[in-house]
Amino acid sequence: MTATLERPDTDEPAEAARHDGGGRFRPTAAGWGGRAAVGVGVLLVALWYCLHFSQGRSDILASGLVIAVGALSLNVLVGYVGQIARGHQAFIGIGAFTAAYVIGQSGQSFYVGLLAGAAVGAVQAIVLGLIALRVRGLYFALVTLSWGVVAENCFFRLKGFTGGGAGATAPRPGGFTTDRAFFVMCAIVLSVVLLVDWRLMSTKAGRAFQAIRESPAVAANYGVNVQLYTLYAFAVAGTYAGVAGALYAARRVTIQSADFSFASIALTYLIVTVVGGLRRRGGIVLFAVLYVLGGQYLPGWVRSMPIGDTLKANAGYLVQALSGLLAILTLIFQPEGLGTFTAPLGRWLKGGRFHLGHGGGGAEGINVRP
Amino acid sequence: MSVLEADSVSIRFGGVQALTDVTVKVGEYEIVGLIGPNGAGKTTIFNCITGFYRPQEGRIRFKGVDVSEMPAHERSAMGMGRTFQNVGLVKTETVLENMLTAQHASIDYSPLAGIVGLPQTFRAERKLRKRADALLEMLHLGHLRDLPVAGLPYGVLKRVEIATALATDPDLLLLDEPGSGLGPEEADKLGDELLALRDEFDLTIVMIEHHVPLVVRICDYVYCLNFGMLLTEGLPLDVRNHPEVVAAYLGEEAPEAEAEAERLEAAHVAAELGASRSSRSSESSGSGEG
Repeated sequence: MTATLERPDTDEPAEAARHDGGGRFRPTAAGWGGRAAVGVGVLLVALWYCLHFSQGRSDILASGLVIAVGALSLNVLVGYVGQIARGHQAFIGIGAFTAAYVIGQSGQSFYVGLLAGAAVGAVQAIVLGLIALRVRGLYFALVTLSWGVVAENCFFRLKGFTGGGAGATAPRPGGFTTDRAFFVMCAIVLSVVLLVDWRLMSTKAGRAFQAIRESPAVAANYGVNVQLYTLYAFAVAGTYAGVAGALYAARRVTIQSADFSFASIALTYLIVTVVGGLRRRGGIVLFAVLYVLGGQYLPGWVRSMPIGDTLKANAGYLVQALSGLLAILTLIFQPEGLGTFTAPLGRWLKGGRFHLGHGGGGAEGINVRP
Repeated sequence: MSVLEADSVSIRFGGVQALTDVTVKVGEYEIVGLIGPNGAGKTTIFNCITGFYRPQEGRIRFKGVDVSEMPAHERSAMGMGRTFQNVGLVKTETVLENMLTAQHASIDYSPLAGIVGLPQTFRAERKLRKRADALLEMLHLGHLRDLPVAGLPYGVLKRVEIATALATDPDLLLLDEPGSGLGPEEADKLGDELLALRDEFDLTIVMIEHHVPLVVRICDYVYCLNFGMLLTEGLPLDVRNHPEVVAAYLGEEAPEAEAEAERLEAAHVAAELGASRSSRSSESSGSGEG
């Protein structure tokens, strides 16, 4: 039946390309063995590292994992469906205060609080998504910015909900009260979020998101209900953010409205998402951890350097300025962020060839938009 | 019976009357050509048919159903496949991923089932891949399977786009300039291929095309638009030789139809060369990497 479609003179280059490996590459048994060894090795090193640090460092790393979950939430909006969200302190804060309310004031367990934070986070995100269907680009960025400010200055100051200036408390769950144990809790939750995100992007909904980001017209032409799937992406982002908020609350135990400012949450998480690499899960998690470790240890390291006393006294600011510079340089020279390095490794572990080229996520190439 | 019926469609954007009272009827398994000079409203009528524009007047009927109020994605799911003038593919994804996305409407598991990872989703995904591979092989695009769309030359993208349109499982295929950027010989081959695809998939095809010899060879019926109005319609040769059609393309009277048609073709080729020089040069440089 395909005989009628033969195009003999084009067969030659096609055939050559196939043998050249442009088509299906499968590693040998030894190749799979090597991949498994590297994968297990990385996990063992991570585990060994986790078992050999102090309670204090556990807490810092736990805060990094919380940022990772929040940044993965932003990644859904900014990376997958291409909505520029600038008010993530609302997303995280609403999840955090909901969880704190359910755990602290209603006396429910941490797990109920986690689910409540996720649910309320999803609902507020869907409301914002309904707005996103009407305004686009810069205007939507402005809407989210306002939403963040409203949440920051209004919702988070309601005494009945957040405890006002005194703050709200969210005790940690039994068995996870120490910093090290709570780090394990954060790691488990992050793993679940990563698993969900992976399945999401490997199936129907994820492909719909990618198409919507590149061109709503192409997505609709492929049969995707653009409005429904945009809302769906917001629901997913809100759920991740609610989970991140609940973890944030329990890690800090006591949270205040001042914790959820634009600079400390929205900006930080956006930088982690972008420098980690849009649509690059591994890069985002890695950079979230590096970010908190850097914030903790770099000022001390800078102080030990032979620099003038004035600089030493302001080491904290110096590090902030340098990391800002680093972020700008990353955006200019490596638009895929840390994903430039983690993505090839991930592709290789999954049984592909190792090559540093981008997997189709880059910004270059000809414009094929309709 | 008519598969597609665009009945007295009129649409204006602000003060610009883009289409005036255009009626197009397409019968089952027909290949219908839509020709006309630039700005005649050919792509606009495509957008009205596929649901990207809502005409102010007129109805669109597809397989006997009035789809005038139906959103684009539902028309796609009903069996309208379409390609775009400037290539409508998700450029950050690979060819295979595009083929999978294009099968969206045929996937019967819910998004939530996909996240949770129910066994049926893995089965369904395997089926999608199999079908995508079969289609790519059939169109001799199998070797491009895992390449990102962004790096491929224009001529190849046009073919990949036809593959993704077929992946949406259409009954009606709307092609927006499938032959743009092709030389006469390649256009000939495209003609053979479209005829074969029509028979293989029981398709009805409507195509916008400037390549007049291609239109004359494979189309059963041709509509010619000019300034948003139907200039004429009829059998391909009659339309090609119609004095007003020739005048619309060249802006002058035609003394001798046959010679004019040749000049028309030459003008077309020259225009194509000029318009797509950059993409064609990238094609020749990129053809070796496969």
